[in-house]
Amino acid sequence: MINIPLLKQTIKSNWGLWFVATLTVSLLYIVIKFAMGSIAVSSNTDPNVLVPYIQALEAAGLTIEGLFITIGINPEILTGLATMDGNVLVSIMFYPVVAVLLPLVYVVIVGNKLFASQIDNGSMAFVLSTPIKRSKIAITQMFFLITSLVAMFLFTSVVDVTLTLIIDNSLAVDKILLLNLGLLLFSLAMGSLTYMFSSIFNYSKYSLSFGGGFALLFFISKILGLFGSDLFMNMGVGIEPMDFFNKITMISLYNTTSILDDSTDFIIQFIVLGVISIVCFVTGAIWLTKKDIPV
Amino acid sequence: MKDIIRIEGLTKDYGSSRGVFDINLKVRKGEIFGFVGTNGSGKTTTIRNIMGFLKPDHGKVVVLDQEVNYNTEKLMKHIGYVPGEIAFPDIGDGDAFIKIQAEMTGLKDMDYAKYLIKKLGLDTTANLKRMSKGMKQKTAIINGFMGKPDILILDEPSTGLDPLMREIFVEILMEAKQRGTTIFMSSHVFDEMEKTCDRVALLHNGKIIDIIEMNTIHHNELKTYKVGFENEEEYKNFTKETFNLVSLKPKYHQITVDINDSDINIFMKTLSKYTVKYIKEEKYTLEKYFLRKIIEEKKND
Repeated sequence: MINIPLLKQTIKSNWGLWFVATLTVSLLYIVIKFAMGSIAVSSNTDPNVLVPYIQALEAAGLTIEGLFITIGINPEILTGLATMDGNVLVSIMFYPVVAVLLPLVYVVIVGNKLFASQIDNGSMAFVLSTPIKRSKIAITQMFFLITSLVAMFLFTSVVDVTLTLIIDNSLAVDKILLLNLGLLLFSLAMGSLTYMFSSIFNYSKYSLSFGGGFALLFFISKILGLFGSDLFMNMGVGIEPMDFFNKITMISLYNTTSILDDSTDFIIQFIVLGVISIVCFVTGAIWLTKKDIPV
Repeated sequence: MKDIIRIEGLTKDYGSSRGVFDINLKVRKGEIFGFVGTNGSGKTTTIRNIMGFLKPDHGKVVVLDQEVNYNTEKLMKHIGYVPGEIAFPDIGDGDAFIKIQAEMTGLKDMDYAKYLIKKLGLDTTANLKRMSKGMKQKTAIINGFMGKPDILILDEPSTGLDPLMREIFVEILMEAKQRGTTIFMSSHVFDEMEKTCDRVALLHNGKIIDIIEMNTIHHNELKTYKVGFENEEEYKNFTKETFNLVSLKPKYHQITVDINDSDINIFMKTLSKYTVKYIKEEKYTLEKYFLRKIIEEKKND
């Protein structure tokens, strides 16, 4: 199914980027885990401190809600803030916004290098002029992309879990694993997109425009969508119309809120990510076997 | 099987009269077949069709009795290829490339590769990205030839080589021919083609306008001579003789004349009556032949 020398060649020309991406994700985990460890300490506010303030307001026939309304803030955020867990908040935001970035960069660059850039510069001629079937070339490159992503996430998951156990144990290990699994599934789906574009286009500029373009669109939409997310709305800083951006970004299928609040929405979304991956990988592989390759 | 490569009615139309149109040719076993043409005439497109990288719009290419398509990768066991535009995968130095290519093609015996590296004087420890044009070309040539394939498909293989290296390349090419290799080679170095090719096809605007046996060039009975005369009077008198004058340069008292070998003595006798300053045979070359052909073709357009 796969050609070992070609796999070796692909590993040789991509391992550097894999290494940098994996290492950087691991470093991000270290930074964020230390940060979360410190939140756990600083958020131990004594509720008794607030009592005199509440009493003072009540003595004047006023309420805290009234105070908030007077200032112009929706008092509902009080319940939101009271029930908010700093660690969960960070996890909901960190994984799909920060941790997602490096795998995105990785799949955009590597995806393009698998076919389009090799056809564009002509080096694919040296592979095509050997007795390796085109379908085998397609599957070997797919195997590399999938395996390298799985390896990246095995490594970073181990780092993440280890750090969680040592520094900050506010999240259960199974949640951490699910968060990482989701990140892997999302990265695979993005990887399948870049793989497909790389196979369809003979020029790097087009393959990169589409692969990188979607990555950028999804990433920016995710950030803009945060303002319309339930999380921000509950904190009173949301802008509801911006929820639109959550509907156009594939990162929404990596539903960290659902993973952390014990609902099951994320499972069906994981399955959708898997289906996207299969469709794009298969389309890309078949495309390569049925097109002119001008090298 | 007499014809190793058969191209029948090959058309690959890229629009606005770019591409190749109704190409027909046969490459016989053991011959070196040259393919010349102006830039953008469709040489590379034809070669990519032979390799099965492109699919023809019409017609077909048959290699070793098998019609070529995207899935005839098994034919690659018999073919060595030197692409026209050379870029290497991002895998380090020349040695690494040659090694991995040998693995991909299933080549075990690297003796010939080593011989070629030595003969071409290539430093294979150089990083592929930092190689000069000539070094890249040598690396690609070694890769194409090292498996001693039955067929060689070469797209302008001597580009970037210095004159000395071109000589060595011709030697390597002739070694391959002696092994019985069938060679299809595009080039615009006429001199090299004349030395090596058995037949040459001329491609112009995507069409083959002529296929010529090199023997008819080498043993051409029609010779061209340039003669300079002592003075204007002598020059003028000679122009009245009944020879086939190709061109006249009155300023230098010089004529250019086509003489068939059978008329050489008449020519000499006539010349003996004149005071000749110099006489020079103009070599009849492939280049001249094709330039004339292309000029004819342009007149017809």
